[in-house]
Amino acid sequence: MGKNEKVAVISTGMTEFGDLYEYEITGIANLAIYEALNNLHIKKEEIESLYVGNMGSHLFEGQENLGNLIATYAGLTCPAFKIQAAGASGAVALRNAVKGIQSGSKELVMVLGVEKMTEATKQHEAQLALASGLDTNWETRMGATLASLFAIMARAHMREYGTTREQIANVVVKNHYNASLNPKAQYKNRVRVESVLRSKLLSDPLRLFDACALSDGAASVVLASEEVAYSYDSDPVFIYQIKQGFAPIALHQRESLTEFSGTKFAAEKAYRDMGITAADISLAEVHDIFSIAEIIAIESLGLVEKGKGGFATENGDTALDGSIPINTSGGLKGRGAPLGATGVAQIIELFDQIKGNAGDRQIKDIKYALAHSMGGTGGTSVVSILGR
Amino acid sequence: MGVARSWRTQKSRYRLTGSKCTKCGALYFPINIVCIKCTSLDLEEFQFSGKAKLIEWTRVDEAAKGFEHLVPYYFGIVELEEGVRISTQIVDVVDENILQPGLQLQMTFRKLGEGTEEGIINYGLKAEPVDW
Repeated sequence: MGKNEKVAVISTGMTEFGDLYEYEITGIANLAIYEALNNLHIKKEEIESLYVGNMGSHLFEGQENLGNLIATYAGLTCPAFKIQAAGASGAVALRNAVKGIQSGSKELVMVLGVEKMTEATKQHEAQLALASGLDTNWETRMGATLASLFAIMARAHMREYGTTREQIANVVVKNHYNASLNPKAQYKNRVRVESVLRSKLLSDPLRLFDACALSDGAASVVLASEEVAYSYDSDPVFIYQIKQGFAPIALHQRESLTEFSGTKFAAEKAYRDMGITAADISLAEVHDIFSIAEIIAIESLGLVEKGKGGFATENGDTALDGSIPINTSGGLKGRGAPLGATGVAQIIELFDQIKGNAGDRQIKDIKYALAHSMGGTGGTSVVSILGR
Repeated sequence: MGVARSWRTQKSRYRLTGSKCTKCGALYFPINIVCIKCTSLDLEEFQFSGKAKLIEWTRVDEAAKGFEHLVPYYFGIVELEEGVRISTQIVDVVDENILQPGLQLQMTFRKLGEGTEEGIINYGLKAEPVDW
């Protein structure tokens, strides 16, 4: 198989995102795994490898060896392992699964993104787990929090491009609105700009409503080679490109505070290799771990002009009926952010959109759809492009 | 932070000691054992002056663990005069309006956070505005 061979997403499964107290991590994993298997009557013995994307099961729950644990409780006996890349864990797992099929050594594999965060009952446990994706010696131990680093980016963006606090809040308003139309979303309530601006200050100018909440959830996709895919689906959804981009782990080590350089690199490479431009993208799911991240992401992806992300959001360009709908699922903010699951959940939203199964969130005339996932404050970026 | 880790990072954390590549002259903070620019392993300790300028900042109202007693505190990215950037707290800010990019700062020795489980109180460097 050649290196440009496209890989199909043939089936998906996803839990609701939110406080799933009644299930163990193996339980939410099973809900997603078996929904994906049973949708197409795929036998579990047919799965050749299980790629588990998870950020912090050790810190949130004291559990590692997650591949083996989840495979055991799911009754899967294929090779299984966890891939960790902070918030991009699910997307990096997906990328490696795609590579596995492209290599020709596998025909049918499963990617599971899963995270159980609500077990961390003390605020500091959760905050430490989230901050573990930063440079702990030279950021966290100097007083950084995840919010403080995104707050620095927000201030820099406001200073450099005239982005307003209200524009940033509009990301939250839009994503909550989209989530209100998504049955599996954690936050189905709509919010107003004023509620965002009145919420508790975390790190100036970012407030509680600019941040994602703790969440439990699992999302899984079954990937197949092109040949095998057609035996399940006469009109499959393909992952045409999946690129990973790098930036230094610490924000202070990066050249720009207002761009995700790894995201830009991955997106440009994906567009180039596919012979398309950003203008061919009809909708995108991006890593809105904080509101400002969505604005910087859509600029870095080339979906809006640099410096215009806030204005585009305020104008409604990124809304469901806008020129480039962003986070139709509600994003990490509205749909929920069980970290390791987010990168896979994005793929499921795009799959549903391309298949025409996105209900009230449906975007018409989709050419290509893009997913963008990040680890930490942007050190790891994964960009995928899907289409028929 | 564990005892060994605290000890390992002490030189950089207490004294702003970094590394200089004897082959290509590249500077590093914290201390590094390899030059990632020219791949040389021939690095020597380098003492940064402690003069810096402000790049960008925020005021932290929801603290990291061990920093709760400081809330609200100023945190930012500063560029040392030798051209290397670090993350640090900014202290002795009498008026928030002075915190503009380019503000001249001086690194100063302070208590970084409360005692860890091992009983270590961490000290390190923070930035303070010059001439205010």
